Amino acid sequence: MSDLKSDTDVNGNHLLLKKLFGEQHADQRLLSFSLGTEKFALPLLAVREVISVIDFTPLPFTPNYILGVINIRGQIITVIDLGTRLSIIDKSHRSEAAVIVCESGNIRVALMVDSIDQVINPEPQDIQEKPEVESSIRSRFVKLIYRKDNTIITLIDTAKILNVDTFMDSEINQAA
Amino acid sequence: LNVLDFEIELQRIFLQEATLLIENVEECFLDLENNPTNPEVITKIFRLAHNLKGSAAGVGLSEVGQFTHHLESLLLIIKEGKITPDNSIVGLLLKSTDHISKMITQLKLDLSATFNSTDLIQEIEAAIKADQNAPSKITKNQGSPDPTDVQTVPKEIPGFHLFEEQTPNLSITQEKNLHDNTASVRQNNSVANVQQDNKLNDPKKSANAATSTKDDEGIRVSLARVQKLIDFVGEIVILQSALRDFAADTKDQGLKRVVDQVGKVTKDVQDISMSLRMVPAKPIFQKLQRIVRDTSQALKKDINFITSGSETEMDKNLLERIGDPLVHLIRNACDHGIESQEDRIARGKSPTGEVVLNAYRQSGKLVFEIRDDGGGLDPEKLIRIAKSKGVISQDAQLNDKDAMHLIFAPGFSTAAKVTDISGRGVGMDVVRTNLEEMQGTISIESKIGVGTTFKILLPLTLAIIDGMVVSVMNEKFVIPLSQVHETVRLSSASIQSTQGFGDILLLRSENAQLYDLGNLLHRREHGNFNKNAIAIIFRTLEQPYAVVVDDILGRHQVVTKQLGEEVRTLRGLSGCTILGDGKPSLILELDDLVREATKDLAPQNFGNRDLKADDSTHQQKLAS
Repeated sequence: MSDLKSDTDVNGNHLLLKKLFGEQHADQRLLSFSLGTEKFALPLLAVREVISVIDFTPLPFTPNYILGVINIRGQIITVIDLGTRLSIIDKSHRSEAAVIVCESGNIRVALMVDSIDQVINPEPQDIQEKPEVESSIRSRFVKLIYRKDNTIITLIDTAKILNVDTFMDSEINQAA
Repeated sequence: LNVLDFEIELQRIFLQEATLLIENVEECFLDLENNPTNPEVITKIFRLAHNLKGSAAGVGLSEVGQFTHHLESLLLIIKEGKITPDNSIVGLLLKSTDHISKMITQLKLDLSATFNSTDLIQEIEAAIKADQNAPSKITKNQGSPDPTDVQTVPKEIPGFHLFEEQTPNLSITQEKNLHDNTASVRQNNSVANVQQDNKLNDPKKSANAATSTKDDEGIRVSLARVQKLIDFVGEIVILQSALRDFAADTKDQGLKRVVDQVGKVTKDVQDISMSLRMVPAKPIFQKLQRIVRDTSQALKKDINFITSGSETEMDKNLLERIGDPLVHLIRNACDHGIESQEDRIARGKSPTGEVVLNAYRQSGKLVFEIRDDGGGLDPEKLIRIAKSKGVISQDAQLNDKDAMHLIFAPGFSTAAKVTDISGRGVGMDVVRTNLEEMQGTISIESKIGVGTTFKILLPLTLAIIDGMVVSVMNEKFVIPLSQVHETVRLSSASIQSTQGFGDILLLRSENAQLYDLGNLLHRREHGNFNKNAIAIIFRTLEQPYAVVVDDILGRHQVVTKQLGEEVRTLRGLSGCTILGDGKPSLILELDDLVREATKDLAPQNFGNRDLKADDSTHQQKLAS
């Protein structure tokens, strides 16, 4: 009986992985990084490159989490402050700040984070649905978490962060 | 590569080549109509058809081969002089060409597509037989075409000299504008437009063109690769200017010289790479030629289509997008512009209507002029119709110019009934929107009973612009130079501060509302600018306006780049560019910013408006 149950769990987790990476993707690694005192991760497949923070050109009339644009080998890329986007107030850990260039669909955007941590290769059972009690401010961008031993890493939904329709909708931050 | 793949590859190559062949053939047919006895043209057509037949059969596309075979039989008897290519024969030839290009288009999508050519083949066979029964026709139609014959008589066929070697020539319009930087980019490979097209009337030249086909040594490169090249060249330009800045401080004369030379070479490479995107407007002209021919026949009007400037070069992107607007305008000119033959005779005009299309460059702009000698636009009639259709309110007062622009209003059409050609009331507003998307403008001049002229102004390319680099609070912005009218130092200007209307800059004979760029961008409160700052005067809206910047840093040709899709809807920005320091710089659309600011000027928001960029969206939402 207990065997059966854990089997279902693992199957369920496989489904969660598919949710995160899509049907076909064999590469299920995650790139983890820090914002304030918390840990987050993105599917490595969505990451194009990681660069150090460079001077950006501010964009007028944009919400506060849009830092501006940078030039990466001739392409103009919008930079967002992921901490601000996710309403993380603690900004005291920025000495190692880095920029993750990632893409989803046609959108390529750079995310500024406090520091890059590591690449994780998760087992299906490490991925879980986000608990309901999770602070609702960022619930829009987070569906899953990675949990192993005492480590909890929040998995960012790139498709939601890099959504053309809601990209400049700061109300998402204010809602709830 | 297995045999099957190889065969498919061959078929693909054939289809690409066939598309080019078809374009050439169509051009020749139209030429043939005006010049029915020119053996060179007929021989060329015959050769093209023969090539097409041979290669189609060779790669196993038998349906195209068989159809072309029938067409070739018809061409053969034309070539042998047994038949004169009159209007109906040319019509049949064009119809056959359409059929072949339809087959090719379909085959491009699906190599196993099949077609029904029976009807057309029967028509061709009938034409061949009909002629054998009436061999006397040969002599009857020779010489000048019968003037009463209802047919299009284009005086010249644009671009028949496709493969003719040209000696590089400066065009007149460009010489007039030596101060114009954008034009200079492509001076070397542009050609004199006016003389160019006149040459077409010379049959010897045409014949020459027909025989020099083999001299063409072009290669075809995908646009994506060209674009990549342009992007990298853009990078080199940026690196080169950074290099120049570093070398400015050095005492090493050798280094300085090399840096200078690298600069010159870089400029040349940039010019050439940008010119790769430039293509002659000719394909559009050909298409329009055909449209006038078909439209005038459908309408039973006799229309002479006169063109010049088909060699005018323009950005490939623009060329693709200007097609639809021109088709609409030309169709409208034929349908609504040119009157019926009876009306023309009653008005004492020649029964043959005239539609003129000119393309040329002027002041760094591309100009298309569409002129007809038809009935002209009647402002009062336009206003009446607009009122009856509810386009404008019943008591609206419009001057003649505004009334004419009513034709661009959505849902407006003057044709009494909807025809196949036009009259559905969708054309002209599409024309306007398409042109606006291309940053172009259109103006109308019209006189009742005399005719109408549409003038379209477009930028030569969307890829590079002449920009004025300005600074505000240590940020650099680019303003398209084409929008700048003049600049004034504030210290030498007089400013009148008014209650409720902000600051007014007093110009020589008029007043300009004064805006501060830092304030327009919500970076600082209005009026916090240095008194040594500079005001840039714009005349792009109804009223002139002035925008204050801290400094003007220079004037550069900049490569425009798009912002990411996620922020492309931001107002006041038309794009981005990368300046010499490698940092992106925003290209401003001042008209947008000023229009927006005028809306904001309502006193109740003005005091409590948050000037920090980051909260502006939020603030506006709270206020509403």
